[in-house]
Amino acid sequence: MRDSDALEKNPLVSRSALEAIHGQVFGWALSRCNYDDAVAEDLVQEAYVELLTGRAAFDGRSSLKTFVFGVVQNLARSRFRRIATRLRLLQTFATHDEQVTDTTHDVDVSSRVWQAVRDLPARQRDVVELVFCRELTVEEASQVMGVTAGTGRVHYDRAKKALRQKLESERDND
Amino acid sequence: MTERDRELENTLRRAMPRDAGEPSFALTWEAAERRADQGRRRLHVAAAAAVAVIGLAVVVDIAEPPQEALEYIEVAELLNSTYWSAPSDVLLPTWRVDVYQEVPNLLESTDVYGGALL
Repeated sequence: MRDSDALEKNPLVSRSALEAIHGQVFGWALSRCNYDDAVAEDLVQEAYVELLTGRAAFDGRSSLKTFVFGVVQNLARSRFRRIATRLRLLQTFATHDEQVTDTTHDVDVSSRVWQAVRDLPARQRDVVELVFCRELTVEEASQVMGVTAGTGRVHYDRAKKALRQKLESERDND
Repeated sequence: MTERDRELENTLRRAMPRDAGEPSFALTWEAAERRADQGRRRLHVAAAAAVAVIGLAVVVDIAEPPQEALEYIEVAELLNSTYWSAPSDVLLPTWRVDVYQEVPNLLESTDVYGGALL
């Protein structure tokens, strides 16, 4: 059924439905860009632009949250692919005096547990975040990540195993 | 889900970083709408420019006179239609007889006199 505030180019998406998941979408965008607020806000805006213009068309086969998370994920991927290309060019042509800033070290890591999550390979980290922080099922998380449910489950199991080992070894060291 | 899974899940949920306050949905939405409009406007400008370029090309093509079709001319006809005369030809009708027919034949003799032609 079409909502009264449904988007013109995306009839199955309503403004109020987006507003309801806005906080979670922003949280997901934050984690896609090393918790840089400005970049995350820009990513969310871009995702809304995709929905407004109909370039990202929601067909109702998944939940809206899964779909919008997927849009944010794809936008972040293409954005960082562009940045990585520029960085490679800079590194190729820059003089030795120039330093390319790595922002990953600027992030304040508040807990050892979450540091353990961050140390996981990207896909495992993503599935853990989506399942535990964003409350998606493993199948939904797999859709967001663009992998099959089977592959998602493998990443999920490996992530749990790796985290358990790491946390237990840290506990033993203490 | 096993007991160990549940324990891990609880540990992760407790450690999960809380998102800082997200920007207002209304502001983000307005900004997105503006961006979408800008994109649409840019698309319209690009489309108008493309139409203008195509229109200009069509106008230029129409303004240019059509090339005349090639015509084949018979060689004999061509030769009949042209006449060339040398600048000195004007002298011929008057002087031809004198110049070409009444020139004295100076070296006609082959008689030898004293080892040389007479």
